[in-house]
Amino acid sequence: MNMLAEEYNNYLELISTKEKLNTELLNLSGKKDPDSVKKINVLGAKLGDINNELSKYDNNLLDKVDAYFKEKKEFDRICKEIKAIEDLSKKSIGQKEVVNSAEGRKKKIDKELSYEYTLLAEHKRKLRTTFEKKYREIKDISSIVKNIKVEENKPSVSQEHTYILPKITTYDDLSNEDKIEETKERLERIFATSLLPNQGKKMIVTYDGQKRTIPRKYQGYFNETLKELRLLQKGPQKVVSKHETLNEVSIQTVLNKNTSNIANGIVGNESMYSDVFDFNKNNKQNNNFTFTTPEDKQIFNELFGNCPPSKQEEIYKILFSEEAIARRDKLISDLNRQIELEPTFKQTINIAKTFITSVPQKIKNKISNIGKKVKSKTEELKYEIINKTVNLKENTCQKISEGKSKICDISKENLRNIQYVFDDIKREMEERKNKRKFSKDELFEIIEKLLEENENKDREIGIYKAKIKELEKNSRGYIATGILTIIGVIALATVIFIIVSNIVAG
Amino acid sequence: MEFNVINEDSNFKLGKIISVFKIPESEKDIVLFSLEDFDDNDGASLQVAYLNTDNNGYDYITEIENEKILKKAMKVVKDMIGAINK
Repeated sequence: MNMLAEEYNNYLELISTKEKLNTELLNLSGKKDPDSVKKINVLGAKLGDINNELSKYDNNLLDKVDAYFKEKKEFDRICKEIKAIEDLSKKSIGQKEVVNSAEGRKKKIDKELSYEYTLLAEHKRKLRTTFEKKYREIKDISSIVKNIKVEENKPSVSQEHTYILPKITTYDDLSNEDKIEETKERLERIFATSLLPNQGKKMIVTYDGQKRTIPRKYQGYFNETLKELRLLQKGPQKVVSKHETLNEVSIQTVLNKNTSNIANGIVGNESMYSDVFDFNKNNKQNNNFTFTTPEDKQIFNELFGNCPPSKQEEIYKILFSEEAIARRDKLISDLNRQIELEPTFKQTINIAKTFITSVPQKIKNKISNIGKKVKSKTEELKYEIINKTVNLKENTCQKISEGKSKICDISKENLRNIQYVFDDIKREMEERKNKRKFSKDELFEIIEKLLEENENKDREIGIYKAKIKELEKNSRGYIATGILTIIGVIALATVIFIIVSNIVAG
Repeated sequence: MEFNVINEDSNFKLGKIISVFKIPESEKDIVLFSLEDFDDNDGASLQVAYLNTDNNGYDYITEIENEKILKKAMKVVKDMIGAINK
């Protein structure tokens, strides 16, 4: 059942993908720019693949399985809702009612939910019957995919061929008909050579008074062949040789007509001989050597024109026949499709990874050296501070281009701070009287020292400030006590004075 | 040390020598100085120039014409002030 579910899910996924692709295809319809055409091709190829996949499913079985899973989905939904009401009722503190479940059990359901529960239970009961029926229909089905044996499309190149070479016979072994045939062909070859340039030609007057040339050197050969043909035709009656086909017979009749004229000493005009000159062509057509393109024909003639006919047939079958061309086109199409559908991103990453991990140590060292150089270049800022008192002539004016020499604007306060620091630096430098120039490192050392001193000073200042505060506090105490003491003494003196004056008066 | 300056607009300004340094790219010493107006304006600027000495032993300053050296001198000033403000 799991496998069935998996196959069904795959089917649903395919259907979903197909719909998406169809939508995309619809959006691209009517567009003719190269990108869109490419996309359409890709989508078409994908759709083709999906259709192939879908065709593997048995439709009858699929209908049954589809019906079952749809029913199951609905059944599961009802079960979940019933369970939810039961759970809610358990937690509920409201008034409850006893209701029959789908299985006929008594369930205590919240009064507010009891009506809905009853409806759901009824629906589940009905659904159970159909659900069980659907299950019975599919329980024996193990797979909805057709059991198709994939036929291997063996290219004919890999098939074994047995080549039957023609039996080599001498001219004397040939039958009379074959001898006549051979003689005629010889004559045709002689005529054919007359087309070649730069040959000494012999003019022959044809029977209708037209002139025609053949190579002078073949004149004797031509006469002998013609004589031989005449003798052969006077021999036994012609019987159609066993290897001749019907087409060959028709050509043969034309030839007979022509050669009979030749035999009578009359040579026909050029138009008459056109059929003779095209004999080889006709012969090839008899062998079904038809080509899909003129290029194929040209290639075939150039490369294999001199091969024996049996070999020509074999080569034609493998490389130039309709089946071969179809096979070639399919192969190219498959390759293109494969290239388009290939997860090239992943491939690129893998290639990049391989490339990076296989970088030779030498190159790695070089790269790291470049890195070092760059790093040192950025850090390389050499300079020296000069301990020098600038001696400008008094009452003179230095002329400079302010805009050109300016580094930055600065507030006077910041400028004063900078001047203080540089004054300190100068003082430090002057303490080291043996030196006039200080390197950058030495300058930084001086600056470090000054910063440290400043920190110490700050710390000391902080301590002093704290002490002053404490003293201030204490001093306030002493003053208060003094004032009180003075006030106390004055009051006491006043009291004593009043007492003494009263005594004296009294 | 303070000195008088006349700029390209013929305005007089007050210059103050801050430091003298040397970079390998230049044969002459370079002086870092500040420039400010004589009035109460809060603005000032940092400047660099060549420091030359005449036959009488007096120093005088001239502009750095070479862009490369000028840039390098500015970088040095930046480096020094960076170290101070650390």
